[in-house]
Amino acid sequence: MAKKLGVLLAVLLVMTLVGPLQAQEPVTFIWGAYTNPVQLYSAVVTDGVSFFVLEQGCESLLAFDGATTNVIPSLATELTSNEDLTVWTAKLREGVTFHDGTPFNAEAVAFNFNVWRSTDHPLHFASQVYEYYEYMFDGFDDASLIQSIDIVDEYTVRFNLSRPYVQMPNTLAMPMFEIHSPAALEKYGEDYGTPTVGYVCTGPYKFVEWVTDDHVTQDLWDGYWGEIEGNVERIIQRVIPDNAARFAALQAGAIHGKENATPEEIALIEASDDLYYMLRPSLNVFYLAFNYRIKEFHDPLVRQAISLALNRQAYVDAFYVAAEVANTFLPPLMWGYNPDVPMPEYNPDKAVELLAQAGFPNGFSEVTVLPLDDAGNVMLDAEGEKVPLTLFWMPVTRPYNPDGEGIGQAMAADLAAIGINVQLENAGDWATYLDRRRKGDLIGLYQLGWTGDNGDPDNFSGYFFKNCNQPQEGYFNFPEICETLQQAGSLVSQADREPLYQQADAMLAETVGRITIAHSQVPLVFRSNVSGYIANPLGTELIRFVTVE
Amino acid sequence: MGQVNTTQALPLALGIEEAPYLSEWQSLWLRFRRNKSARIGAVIVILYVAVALLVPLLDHYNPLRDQNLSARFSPPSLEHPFGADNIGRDVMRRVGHGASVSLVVSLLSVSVSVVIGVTLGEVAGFISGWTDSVIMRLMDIILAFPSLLLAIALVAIFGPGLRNAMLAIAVVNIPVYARLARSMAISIRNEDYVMAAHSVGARPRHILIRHVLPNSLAPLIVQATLGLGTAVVETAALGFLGLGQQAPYPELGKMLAESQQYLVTGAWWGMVFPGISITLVVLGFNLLGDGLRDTLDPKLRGTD
Repeated sequence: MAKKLGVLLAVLLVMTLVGPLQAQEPVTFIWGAYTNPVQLYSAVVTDGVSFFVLEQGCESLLAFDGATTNVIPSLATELTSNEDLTVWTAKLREGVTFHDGTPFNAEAVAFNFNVWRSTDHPLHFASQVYEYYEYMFDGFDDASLIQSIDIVDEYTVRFNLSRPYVQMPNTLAMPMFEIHSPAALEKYGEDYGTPTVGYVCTGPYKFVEWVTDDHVTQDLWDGYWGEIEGNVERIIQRVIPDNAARFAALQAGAIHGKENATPEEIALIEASDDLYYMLRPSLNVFYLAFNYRIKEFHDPLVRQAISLALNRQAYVDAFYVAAEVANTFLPPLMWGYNPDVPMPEYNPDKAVELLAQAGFPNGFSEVTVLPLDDAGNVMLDAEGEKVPLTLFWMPVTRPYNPDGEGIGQAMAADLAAIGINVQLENAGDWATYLDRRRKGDLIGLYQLGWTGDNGDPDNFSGYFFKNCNQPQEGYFNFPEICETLQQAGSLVSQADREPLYQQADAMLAETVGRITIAHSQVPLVFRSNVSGYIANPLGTELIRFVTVE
Repeated sequence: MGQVNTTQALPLALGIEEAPYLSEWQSLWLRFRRNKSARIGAVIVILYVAVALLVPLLDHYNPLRDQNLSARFSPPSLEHPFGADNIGRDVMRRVGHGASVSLVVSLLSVSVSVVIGVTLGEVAGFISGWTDSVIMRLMDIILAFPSLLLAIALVAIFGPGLRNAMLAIAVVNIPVYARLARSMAISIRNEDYVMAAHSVGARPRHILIRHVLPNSLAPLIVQATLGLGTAVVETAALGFLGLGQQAPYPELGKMLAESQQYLVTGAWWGMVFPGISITLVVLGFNLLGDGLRDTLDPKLRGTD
């Protein structure tokens, strides 16, 4: 009996000792996503869910610093250019290896860029869309901005460009240009980045498993070259498609964090001790554009009146979780922002006066559409054709525009109050809307916005206004603004460029060439035992800074 | 189906004890009054028509200027008996104006489908032969598509908007009336009085208009009444899908679509009141249609 008891005690003792050891789970951070990643290969995806995973495991040559869009070294320690911005040389970090043990060097960098650049490269698959390479670098093969990549030595690469490209550092920091292991790319071919293969990069977390419709797991990699500031040893991205279910999972503690929340959920979060939220700094703008094929919009008084009629603060209060009225096109966070431009005024009485001065004492509901000449320019002196004035609202929700139809109706009511009667039009689905915008076919007032891709104002104001008279910008034609932005895009130093962007925004606000409405922020929600998450305006957020208690 | 020939008075005293003789209309009215569902349906429809006619007359409403963002999502109160929607508009006003839009659309679309459908059907049934085949195969083609899907396709082609939605609803309902009218025409074609008309040398057009058409009216009236209810639902469905009435103008289906995304936040009034309105109107037309069928169907005469 005593012997039996002794055995039992021994067993219990062993169990109590071993139990905690077995139960010692790695410190885990669970993120709730609304869908699966598309593919874990940075060059061929554009969705935030894929990039949430890739950002933890892969690295670009440069990186964005914390909550800013400032570019800091990452896999490259240095990036320099020649005088006219056409040759860029990157010094690479030494002693870095990929998760598969192969070395990271100039050859690996050149290999990655050559795959993306050359449509005839055996690993450049026709079935995959290298969308951001095409978009940021003008296209592929001979059309590509990157004409060639030289391997100068083991840890130096040189990019030879076809034209000056001031955005190069910011572009190389974008997650779309993360460097993947050439050995793995060759080994897995078209299957690279799929659930069975995952990714092979240089980042702090390596790929463990991806169960479609359930989760992606990443574990801390002991071979990482950098420092891990937080304590997370395992990252799980869990798929919970339903918004309400995802919020319930967060409330129940099944996940640690998620992106986005409705204003009503925010109220619950504020009342809860277990949850908190932070706002991702805004790098976007929501605007109402004039299509300058409409004769009346060439009168600054009319544009001014329309701007004065819109109660932007009311839209911000009613429709957004967090946003601020936009005084300029560039958001305050972006360098080149001009804080001296006055906030747009809401003053319907003054708007009515200005309309009367412009010759419309009773407002208007019809406008004159001017024809285009053979070169595609608006014929200002032509007779034109009378049509009802239309306001096109965006058919989708975007971070900068939570409710296109609702805001569109609010705008229409504000305009009606000063005597301008618009017809609201749903131009169709999102693809149709963008297509009509590209062709200059949204003839009237139209809503749209922009989220910066890489933190450079050339990718913001420059994208829209560098070239005058483009159909996709509603034939926006203010040569002074266009020239200022062209000049800003041709200079190297930020100190030289910054005043030019400020000047361009001041001119835009002065002439009301386009109506800026708001810059908005997206909420990120967490359990209160999570700390250290740094919300980045570009969404490049790193779990290696996060601590879970 | 028998005939209710307006050109001759039938003894209609069957089953009505104390009335030795009643005119056609009196007898119909009596039967109609005895039918409970018809009475309820008629009351609802009359109320609906009254609202739809009176609201635009009494309340001058400019949806373009209706907005009050500070009253966004106000719950039902004295000021807003049905609450306020996502841009602070009074839901009751919009339900009222939406109801008149529905009435106009359903009346016009049903009229168009009845006129076209009955003409095609009567001609097909009366003339028969290859005319009949061509017309009815055409109708079969239209019927081969689910009606709402066809309506969506038509609106997608011609562009969203109330007028196109109305035409689409009219087109998809044409075969219903065409088939009904044709079957009536075929059964009437061989009736003695039609033969008699032929024998005295009446022209086919004369026979069609004076004899065949009046005798096929009863089931067509019933069908058109039921069709009004269907048209209300179809208008709302197209509006809900964003293909019918466009913002900011009120329409019941569109109001449902606008408010459904806010239902989770507790703003139930934006959906419930337009939803109830649609339900009531459709119920009214269906009860009325059923009642009319009972009244007009000679097989049911004398029974309650």
